Amino acid sequence: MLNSQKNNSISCTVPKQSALVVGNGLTASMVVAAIKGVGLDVTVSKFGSNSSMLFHCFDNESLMTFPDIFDEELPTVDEQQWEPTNIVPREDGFVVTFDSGKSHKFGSVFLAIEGTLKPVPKDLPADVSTITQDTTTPFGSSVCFLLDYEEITNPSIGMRSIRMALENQIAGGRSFVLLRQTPVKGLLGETLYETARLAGVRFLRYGTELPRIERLSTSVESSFRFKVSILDIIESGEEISFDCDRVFVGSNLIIERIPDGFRNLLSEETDQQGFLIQDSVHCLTGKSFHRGVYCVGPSSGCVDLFETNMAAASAAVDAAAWLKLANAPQPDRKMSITDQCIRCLTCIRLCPHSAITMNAEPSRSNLEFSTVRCLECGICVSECPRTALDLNSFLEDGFSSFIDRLKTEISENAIVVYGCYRSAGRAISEINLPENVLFFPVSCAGRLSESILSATLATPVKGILILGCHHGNCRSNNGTDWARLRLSNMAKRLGSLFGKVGAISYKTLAPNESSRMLKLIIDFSGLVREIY
Amino acid sequence: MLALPCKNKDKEVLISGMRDHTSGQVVIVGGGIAGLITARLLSENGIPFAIIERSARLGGHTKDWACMATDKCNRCHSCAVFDYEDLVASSPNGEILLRHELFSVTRSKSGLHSVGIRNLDSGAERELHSMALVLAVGFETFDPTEKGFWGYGTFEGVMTLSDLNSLMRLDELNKLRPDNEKPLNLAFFQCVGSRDKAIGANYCSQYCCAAAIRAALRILHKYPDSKIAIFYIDLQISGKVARTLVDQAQEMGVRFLQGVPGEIQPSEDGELKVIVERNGRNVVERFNRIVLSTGQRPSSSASAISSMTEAPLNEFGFFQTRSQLDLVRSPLDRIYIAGSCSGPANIPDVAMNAGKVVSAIIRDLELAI
Ligand code: SF4
Ligand code: SF4
Ligand code: SF4
Repeated sequence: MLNSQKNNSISCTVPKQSALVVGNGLTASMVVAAIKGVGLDVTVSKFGSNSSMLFHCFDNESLMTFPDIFDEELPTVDEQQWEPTNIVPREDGFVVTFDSGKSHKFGSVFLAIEGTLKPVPKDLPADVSTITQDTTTPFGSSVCFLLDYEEITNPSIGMRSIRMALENQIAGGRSFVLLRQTPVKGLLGETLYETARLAGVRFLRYGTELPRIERLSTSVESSFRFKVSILDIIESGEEISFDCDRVFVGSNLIIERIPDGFRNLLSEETDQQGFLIQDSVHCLTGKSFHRGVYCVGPSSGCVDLFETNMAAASAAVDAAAWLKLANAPQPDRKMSITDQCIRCLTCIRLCPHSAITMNAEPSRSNLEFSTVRCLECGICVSECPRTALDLNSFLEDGFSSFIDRLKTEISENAIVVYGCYRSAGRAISEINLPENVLFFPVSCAGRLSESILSATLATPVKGILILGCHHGNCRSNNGTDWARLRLSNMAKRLGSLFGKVGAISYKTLAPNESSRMLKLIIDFSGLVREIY
Repeated sequence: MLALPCKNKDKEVLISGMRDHTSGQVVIVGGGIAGLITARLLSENGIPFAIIERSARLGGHTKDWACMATDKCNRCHSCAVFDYEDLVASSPNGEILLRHELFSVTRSKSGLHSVGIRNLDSGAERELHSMALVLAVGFETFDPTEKGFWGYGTFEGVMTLSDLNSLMRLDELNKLRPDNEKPLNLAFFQCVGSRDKAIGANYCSQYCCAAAIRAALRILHKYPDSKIAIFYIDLQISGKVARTLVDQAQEMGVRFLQGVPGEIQPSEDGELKVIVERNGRNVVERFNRIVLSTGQRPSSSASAISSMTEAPLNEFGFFQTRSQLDLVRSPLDRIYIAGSCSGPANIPDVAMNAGKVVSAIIRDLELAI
């Protein structure tokens, strides 16, 4: 991260409100159109394949009515492949370094690369092909679409198949669709399925037994090329076989190579399938945890033309808002730092929102805190080995005086609940706390340093219950995991002492779980009182 | 590498010519999650808005949903509504009008709307000037009593996904267990009130497959000895999360059974029995609870708002959009449709849709700065 800072060749020709779009296909074009639509300047870095991996299930005529994409004159871009190798967040944007060695500054960056489809399963004959976005209809005679073969086919690709089957049927051909699950996405998905059935497309469903596709000899010109056999589990319950000219399989997406710059910046930000950007509530519509970094289309796991168009629009609107914020006069500083700092860079490494950077000056390097990026979670504060940092709106002193109060003012059996303001802090508004329970809202469960927890345990308090957001739901990505980790560290360190000096427990919660919150507190109190 | 200039580079000219057609606010009808996300994006882009909401609180259906987390968040996305609500409530350029309803909409020559609203408690009336009207009135959950579906309301063990959700919300899943000895033996019936031409709902409700699986996971997390079956027509697994949910559920032993039984009967021992076909033979399966995964129907206020605004409804009773591919603009200028009132949707879809609404407004009204 630091190396690029030394690079003094940052070009300032690109205005601050500009966006960088990395991609080469239709996804990138739609993102460009969306960004221009909200009035931002846009620069494209051509990266990856230029064949589109976006599918739709509309007929070509209605496709012409698709708003806000095809009406845009698509930008021409430099032919050179420029790969972002490093992306460094700054107060009001990003410094992006390309493999050419040059760096530019952008307000926001969008990853809009296409993907690759899984190849045809090996046990199928060689000239079976996958359904791609370029597959065109009609095919003429008899065509078989094989979906859900190795795993459930992506519904957008499945719906495309049904559209192609329908078009082929209308053009006088015969269409068969072999599947386990009929995809009926969107308001008109069911109508498409129904129309295809009425037009004579044959839908055959198989169960655990896979259909068999055999290659027929092609010695005679007019003969069919494939023989298909399937155990139809719904309509007839019988084995059905037919011959056909072509067989297409509906496949799924695999991830195209992600440019290093994005990979480094978003390393942990994947969804459970491995596509970029988490599926957390904080990352809806292509947003990442790094404000100003977006990922739209196949690299985010989406191959739907329509959805990608909407995601592009949403991300662009969000980017415009972010730039407005980043370029506005900044409110007061959110962080304070003392001269105790030894520049160990722990805080830079840990900040989930990349709000801290190192300003490397020849004389004396110092840390810079971005007020627009900082979400005031306090994870950095709690891990600084020198206690050099503090949150201005949520001072360490607040904890100290709370803990001082605990030493003197409370009864023997008291229990302290430290709860994240986002979950517990909201849920508590609907419940009445039992007697002897003190609730102290924190900016994030990850703010609770080991020293705060130890100091609390050293008071007459008999138990500490920490309530964070559920794993995967933390607004600071991993604050809740920090809390869990610290607790187990403390348990290890204190060994058998742990639990004797006072009980301490960590639970997770959502803002809509008031009733459960109350039960957790009551259960914990019961447990604590049992021990003592 | 090339920096592309944006179309309307010369903003000064634009701004001076803009005042008349962009005076007033964007008026959002409905304070559910679609309205909130729209408001939030408008506000962050410096566009003034007003939310008109009939009920006494923001958040709509989403606010009633229970958390579906197990040992991790299962991405039901419903708690996002709390974040959006706070952001919107603290935005400097918006008005939130709770317990208000629309009573008149007049279109002026310039294309602007004058919107009459009424306070439901005091009866006081007010007029808003709208540069764009966003309809975000949401959906209604299908009521299976309408048709006496599967003995809902008659047999004790039959409930809807919403009923189950309310129990979860109150952390009262224990009420589901017949007595604490017996493990829960529960089945979900998918597509109740969806994909059903007979009731005018030949569409998929888009959220229920994932919602049922999440609920199953949550039940199994709390009571690992539960047996759960999901009867479905076709599993819909679109989006970033659905596929992982199916895998997770299969790992946890949830049975996925294709075909939804047509009838539920009470059995001799006070349980529920259904007849399912397996390998060409009829087999009786017994459950102590059956959850009907009820679908999304058009909002009950859709038709009134449609006649007031002249924004037409489609054959299903949802708001009609300009084309099959333009899901955010109504056929009328300056009227936009956000969220599930143009058709069933889950929360990530609603979020994208709301973003597209705001982008369309910025584009159509040339509000980009
Ligand atoms: S963690 Fe503390 S000591 Fe280390 S660089 Fe950050 S402020 Fe300085
Ligand atoms: S408080 Fe959180 S967001 Fe702010 S700088 Fe520290 S770690 Fe980053
Ligand atoms: S399961 Fe839903 S309500 Fe619970 S934390 Fe995750 S997104 Fe929030």
